Amino acid sequence: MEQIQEKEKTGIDIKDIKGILKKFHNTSESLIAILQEIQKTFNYIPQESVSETAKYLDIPLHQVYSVATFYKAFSLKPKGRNIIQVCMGTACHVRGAQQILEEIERQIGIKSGDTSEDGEFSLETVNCLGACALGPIMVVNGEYHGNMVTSKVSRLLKEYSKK
Amino acid sequence: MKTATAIKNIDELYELNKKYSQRKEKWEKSVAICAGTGCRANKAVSLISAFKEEFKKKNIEENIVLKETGCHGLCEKGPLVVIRPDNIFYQHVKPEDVIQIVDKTILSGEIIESLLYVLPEDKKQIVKEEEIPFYKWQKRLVFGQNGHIDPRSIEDYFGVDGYSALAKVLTEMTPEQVIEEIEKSGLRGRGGGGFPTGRKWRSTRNAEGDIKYVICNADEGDPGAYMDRSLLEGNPHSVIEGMIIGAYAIGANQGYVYVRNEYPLAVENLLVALEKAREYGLLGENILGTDLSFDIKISKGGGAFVCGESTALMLSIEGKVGEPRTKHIHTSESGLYERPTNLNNVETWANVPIIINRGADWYRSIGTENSKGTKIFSLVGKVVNTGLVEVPMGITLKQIIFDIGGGIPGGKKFKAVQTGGPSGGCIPSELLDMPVDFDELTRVGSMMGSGGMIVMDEDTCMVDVARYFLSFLVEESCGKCTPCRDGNYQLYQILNRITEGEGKEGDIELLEEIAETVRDASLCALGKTAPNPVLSTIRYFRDEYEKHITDKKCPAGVCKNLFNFAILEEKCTGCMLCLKRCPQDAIVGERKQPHSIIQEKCIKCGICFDVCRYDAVIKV
Amino acid sequence: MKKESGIIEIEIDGKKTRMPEGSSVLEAAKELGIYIPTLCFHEALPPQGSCRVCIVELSIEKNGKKRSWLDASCVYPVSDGLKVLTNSEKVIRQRRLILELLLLRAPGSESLHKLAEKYGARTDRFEPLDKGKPDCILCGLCYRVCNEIIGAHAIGSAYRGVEKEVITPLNVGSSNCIGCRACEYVCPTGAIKIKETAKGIKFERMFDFEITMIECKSCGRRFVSSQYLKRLNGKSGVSEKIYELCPECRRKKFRVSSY
Repeated sequence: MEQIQEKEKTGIDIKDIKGILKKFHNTSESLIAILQEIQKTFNYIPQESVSETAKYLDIPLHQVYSVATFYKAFSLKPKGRNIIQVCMGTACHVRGAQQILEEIERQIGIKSGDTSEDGEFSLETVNCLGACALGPIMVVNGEYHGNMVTSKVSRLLKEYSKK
Repeated sequence: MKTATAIKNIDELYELNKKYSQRKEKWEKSVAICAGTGCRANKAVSLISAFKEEFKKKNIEENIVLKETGCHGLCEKGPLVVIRPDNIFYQHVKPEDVIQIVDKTILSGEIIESLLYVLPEDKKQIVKEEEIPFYKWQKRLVFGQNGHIDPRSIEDYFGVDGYSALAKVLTEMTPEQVIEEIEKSGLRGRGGGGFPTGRKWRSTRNAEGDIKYVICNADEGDPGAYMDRSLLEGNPHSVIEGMIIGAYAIGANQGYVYVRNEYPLAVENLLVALEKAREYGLLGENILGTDLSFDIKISKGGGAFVCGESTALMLSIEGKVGEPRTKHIHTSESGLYERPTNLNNVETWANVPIIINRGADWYRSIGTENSKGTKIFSLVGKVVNTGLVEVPMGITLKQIIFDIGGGIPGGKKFKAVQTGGPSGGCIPSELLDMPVDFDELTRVGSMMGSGGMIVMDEDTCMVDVARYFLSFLVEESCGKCTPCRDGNYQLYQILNRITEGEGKEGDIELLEEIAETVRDASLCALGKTAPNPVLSTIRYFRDEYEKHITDKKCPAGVCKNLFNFAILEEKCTGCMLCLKRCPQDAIVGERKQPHSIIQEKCIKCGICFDVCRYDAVIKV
Repeated sequence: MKKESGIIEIEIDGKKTRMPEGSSVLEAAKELGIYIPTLCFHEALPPQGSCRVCIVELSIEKNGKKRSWLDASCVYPVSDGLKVLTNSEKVIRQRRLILELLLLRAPGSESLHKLAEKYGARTDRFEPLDKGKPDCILCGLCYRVCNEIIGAHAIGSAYRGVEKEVITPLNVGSSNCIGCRACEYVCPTGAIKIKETAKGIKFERMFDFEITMIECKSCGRRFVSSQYLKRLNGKSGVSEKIYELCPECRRKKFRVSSY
């Protein structure tokens, strides 16, 4: 696993990060909630936010970093314009979720966990979404597409890349 | 700071119970629309807007109440609409149906047959919700209100005796008596551990320290299990009430609900419920005019199954990585911030007000010798009636899967049912008549877990199921201890090889050897139970493993390298649909001539199998 | 947590010993001179029970029923009636497998190989593991010492599960590390190796930063990092000028001037 050591290409304004931090109590109990807010705002966890958060909460930087890399909700790399999540819950699995995932991987040309070169799609697997009656489920940008079959995948991907 | 609506004493509460209970009788009709996450994923939101619009148009908003409720349970048939008080049950309702429903059923009392539930065996239509077999055989003590109340309305909760258990506790019972009652009831943890709840409360109460915590574990990570989510979405006050009662009994002043990151609606509804509870003085200082002060914070998970483990959960609340610690010192003595902490699952907390109101003796009359009460299961997978079911402990697997679940769809044969999530095992058809309770499930090599029940049929490959669970556990292992981190990884590698056709002699024995160490030497319950899926599938489906290893064949037609798609000449009409859709140009054939698949080019994507309208594509 | 006072008698490999309540089985074994291998254990830190090499077979008899199980001796507390087996067949078998798994992570560690051989661990049963840093078994001693004892906070863990790694996040090591080399000292496999360079010290493996050490004004030897001096800033109660000299030269100077 590489850490992100290069300078970020797009400048992240520290002021924006500080603005988020101010909304929370400065105790380490807020750490995960802060990172969730940062992830939501910037679509990833920028390096600067790791150090700013450590300063704000008065905790060591390695604690922020270990939390940011331990929990699946956070990404140190920016995600794609369209985020595809395939539910890998057991119910979806027995209904063929693996085949759906492989078809999507094939269509976009990336493996689960990655983002496409053009930044168009990020693909991830998620643990059970709890909508098992509709399995297998593919969620794109929060929109649920249930009862998926491999034959529907390419059309669906085309729809999103056009938008 | 108390607001104007804060309840000052229990008489005021009982007044509210009466007022809102009577309010229901004043409604001419109420329309309960399921607004749980499952139905929302199926456009329930548009359905609700359509109803609102139509109600406005027809000017009936005053007398006919629209109730956006939590999950009703029969998820397979959603979106669901139930018109009360007659309980007319409509399934698969679309926004286009709304005008008809309002005109015919609501205003004129006519039934729309096309929306009724149909019994699969004789095509008979059923009108009333309670007569549908799925509901008829359940005992919906905890889950029952989900289809009746609006989770965002505390008044609705008052109307079903909400918070009367709390009132009883605060005025008629000492903390000691509350603990005795819970102990007597025999309530065991519903999150997976099955630990006696009363005993846990007692240890926490007896632990040294002035500051104590109660926590609700809503991390519900077992894939395929969504009972807790539906409870929190549909009836958050039942959980809150349970926690306040627990806090009183234990001597805690601060509570936390730790909710999985992936449950935004549950968090939303819980936030609203907490706000309302505070407004009414049911949380905060001097609850119901007594000495009890208690409030609840919500803590969200960051996406880690291991945070369902109590010590990892507590570390997560503290802002640390969720690496469990050894539990020689119980969390009831030293838990969150090293203070005495009582952690219980969502469903466990929701059982508490019921036990208080109806009594431990009544509760004991339900269930088996060592497993009292009911359990909510998520019945999913290859089953007709996918959904959430609540049944008394001791009911058989067969009753759940066939009488309530409606059996296996598509006329397929039942093969196994997996319970207990990634910590549980697969149970074969020979054991379908077994009673379902904590100890019985453990005895057969599985466990109750949180209540996930995944039904599998003849098209499910059990070796692939083991591989699937191991891949989940490898992903979710925290990485602290060697057996779980590296042992599970090796189990997964071996299972991968087997499912890819590279199994070798001795693989089953190697799996068993590694599984033994992971089970005995891992630090926490995640590691200790991780071998259950592979061990139980070897126990009951060893022949399937052997076919994969020795014959290099997958009888269920799942493992891509171990089966082929083929086109049946006699069924193929030569329509060329599969040919056109094949992404690898692996199908050849002329129009109206039987097609065939070039095996070397085939990547087993399954598209031809999906699109063929004549069942001509088969797995061999 | 209150440490309670009380004496507990337990039996290890048939021998009895009495230990204060709160002691671990490992401590009791040491009292008896019974050897139990450990890797992630260090006296300076609270035990973790994470490598699981020190597992033993425990049993207790209650109400006529005997319950036995395996657990890590470094964390398991002594309790009345506890019977311990440090070398039962089950223990040896499972310890061997754990060592085999660890060897996949640390194939270049001489000390681990020596330990593994004692238990008959093989190196040919599993495919080589392409995870983690060379020879690191993720015992956590390095970052626990750095953070909990030294307080430099130069390194930590990242990711989880089989992908877990020990890193210096955002290269914070180069500003926080004080060059004390405690991490190298406690590492049980030799995964951390530091070498002296012209400018100071450099990590040969595990981490990728160099710490510049300051030259002694007298003999020119490089002896302390500027980060360390910064830490001492004002706390030692003596003049900063003292740290312009290395300990040898300091001793020489003050021996002369104290008489």
